[in-house]
Amino acid sequence: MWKYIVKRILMLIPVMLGTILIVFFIMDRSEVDPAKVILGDAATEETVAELREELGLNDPFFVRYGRYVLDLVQGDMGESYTYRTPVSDQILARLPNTLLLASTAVLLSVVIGIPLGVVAAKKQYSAFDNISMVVCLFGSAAPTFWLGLVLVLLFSQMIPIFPASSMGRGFWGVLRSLVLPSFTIAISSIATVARTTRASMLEVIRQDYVDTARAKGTPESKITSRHMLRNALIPVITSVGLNFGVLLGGSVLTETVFAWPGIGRYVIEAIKTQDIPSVLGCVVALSIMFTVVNLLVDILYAFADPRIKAQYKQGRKKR
Amino acid sequence: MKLRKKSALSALLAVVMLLACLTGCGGDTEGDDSGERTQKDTLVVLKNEDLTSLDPAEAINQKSFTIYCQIFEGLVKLDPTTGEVGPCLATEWEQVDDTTWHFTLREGVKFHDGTEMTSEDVVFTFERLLDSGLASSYVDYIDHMEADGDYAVYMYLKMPYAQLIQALTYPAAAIVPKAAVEAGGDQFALNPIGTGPYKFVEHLVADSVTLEAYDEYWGEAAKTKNLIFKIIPEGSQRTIMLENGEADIICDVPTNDAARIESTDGLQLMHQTGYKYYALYFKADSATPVGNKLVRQAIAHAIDKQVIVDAVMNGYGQVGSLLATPPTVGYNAEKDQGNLYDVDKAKELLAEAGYPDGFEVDLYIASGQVYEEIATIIQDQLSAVGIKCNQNVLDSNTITEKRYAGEEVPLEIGFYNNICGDTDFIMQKLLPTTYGQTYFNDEMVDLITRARAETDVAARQAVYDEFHDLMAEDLPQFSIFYEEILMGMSANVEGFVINPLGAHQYAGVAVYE
Repeated sequence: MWKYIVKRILMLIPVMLGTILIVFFIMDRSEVDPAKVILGDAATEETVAELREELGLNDPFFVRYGRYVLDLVQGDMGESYTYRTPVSDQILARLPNTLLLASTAVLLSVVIGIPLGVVAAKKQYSAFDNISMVVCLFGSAAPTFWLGLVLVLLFSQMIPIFPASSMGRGFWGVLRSLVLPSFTIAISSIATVARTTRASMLEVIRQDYVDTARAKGTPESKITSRHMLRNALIPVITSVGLNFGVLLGGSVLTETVFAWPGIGRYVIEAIKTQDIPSVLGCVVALSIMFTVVNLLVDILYAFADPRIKAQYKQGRKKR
Repeated sequence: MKLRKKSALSALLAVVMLLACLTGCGGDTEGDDSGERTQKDTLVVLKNEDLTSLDPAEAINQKSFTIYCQIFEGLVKLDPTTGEVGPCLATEWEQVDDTTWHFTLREGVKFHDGTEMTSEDVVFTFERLLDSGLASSYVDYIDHMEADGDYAVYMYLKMPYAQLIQALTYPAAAIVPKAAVEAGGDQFALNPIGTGPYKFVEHLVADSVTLEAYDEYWGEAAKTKNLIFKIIPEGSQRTIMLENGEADIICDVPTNDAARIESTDGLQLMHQTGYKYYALYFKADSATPVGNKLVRQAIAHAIDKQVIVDAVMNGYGQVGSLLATPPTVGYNAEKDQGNLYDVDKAKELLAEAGYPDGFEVDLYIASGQVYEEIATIIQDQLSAVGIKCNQNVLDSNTITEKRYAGEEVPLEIGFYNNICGDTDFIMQKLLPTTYGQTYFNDEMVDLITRARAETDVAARQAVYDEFHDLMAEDLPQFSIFYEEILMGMSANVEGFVINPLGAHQYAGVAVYE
């Protein structure tokens, strides 16, 4: 198992090198000269030339790429063109906020989505099943931006219980300001998780081992949680994991509507202003996290399904 | 059984959390029974964008200077109510000869770290700006600085520059403490130290900036102790937060919310024309028909500017033709032709230019709702005189790059914010030597030199009038409308004055419960 994890972590290196190369290449293809972007109105031919030299923009592509990677290994992501401060500082300031929002949303989607899916599956074609699945369909179809504004209208303006925008201070302040944005993001994931759980449960529900368990006299609650849900979880874990990975990239729309100081806004802003070091830095940070989340998902599989765990172990024996 | 217990527990938890949220917000609404108004000790201002840096030499953009102009001050200061430039860190000044100015500094001014401001800091500030790639082109009229004792400096210019005092209102020309900057290095921007009425407390990236009144401020102390700027990118959210009482003042009110704020009890809207104008830019040396000034004149007559202001800005904007807005020094209402809309005249001019049936041309637009809406209206209006516009929506940097590279950008919609508030500043942009220029007219050099040498205000205005006439004839660009600065605030806010550059001062603002 450990060997597997270490191997997966080592795999990060080529993944990172490739990702950086691709992003570096795309940003390099842009027609826009960063020196002119930085100088803006103040640009003159001399200042642009000077700044290009200072930023090392006149060097060949692979020299710049190599330099970036070398700096990165030493923890230096370069300086943001817009903010004139280290990119790593900018990312460190925003990433925890995105992490908080994404984790809360994922937690909500699991805590609400899975029970919803289980009940819907166990009472297939009941009123509950039909209504909850229609609501879920609506949830996954509603655009986040619109949903966010509607929630603000309902819970900040008409019934003012939550702040409309901006992250609060202190534990309660953050918690209160977290409710609307996390639900805005979570609603579509709740829907996905519920629908996946339901479908997966329906497959499991008619398996022979379920009947066997019942014949043995196992209580129904235990059958549901141990025999059905646990076996039905694999696709759910995949869906939650993938979703978490995407959310870590920051939900730009939600972060904008709720003025959440997360990484999504930063990336978009950096792309718009051609702030190349910031774009690269974010891509690196996000790729690392995405890979780590995928790894965690794979490890979770092992816990959910002993057969997969056995596979990991087998791999070790073979060697 | 276990499952049931767990679900009961989670339901309980949910209820507790909800209750906590509810009680949390109950605390905000404390009433005041005494009848007398109590002043709040915190002023919350909402902005649309985060600052890029708190170091004046690193950030010459509105999103930054709206905040750092509370922390830093310049030698002089614009009084937005009178439009006059008055003393600030300099108490008086004198033009010694054509290119030499002498400033007497205010004594006893303390930086936020407790050190006293002296001539050394002033000399250092301007030398630092001159060294900065970003800021140098805004102060490049300065040759060098020299201290004259502890409380006076000489400023030696490269050329006569009669508009100097106005130009020094430029927010980045803010005095910084030499010792702290040298000791702080790159960290100075993270812990800025100025002489202003507010001192820096905290900047949470993309979230907020907190300032606190400086006890030892040399002038009148700030009326409100704490000043918090929150970054709320979405316009309608700023309006909602103002309505909910989560904010006292909001910047950049979306024009479609402005009327609602104006008519809501307990809220007020302040609006005033600023330094910024939206314009149609031409590539004056274009190989397309736009290279012909008759065609440019025809286009100016084919556009109904009022329709644009009404449709795009919901009426909040002032139709005008000059490259200087009303609060800008050098603006002359008599020269302002306003709306030139006259289709017959436009067709006549087109025929005279040799394009009686019109032509096809590329219109470049930076992505953004306002620009795209303006472009659609212009496209429609120009089609009425036979000019077919092809819209090219690109990001602004790409358009700028094309322009710098000398590629064809025949028509472009953009804006210009005159950061010094003097017509001189836009004239400088139109010099034949300016980087990326497409309008080459040596008369501009003559005009700017004469204006800069002219110390008499009335005589200088005469030069500016010549400039306005030249622009009306040659039209390398023309104003569509002058933007109105829209600020929404609670009716309990007092003392707020709009600064035409957007560098509003909050020291005189008080807010009551």
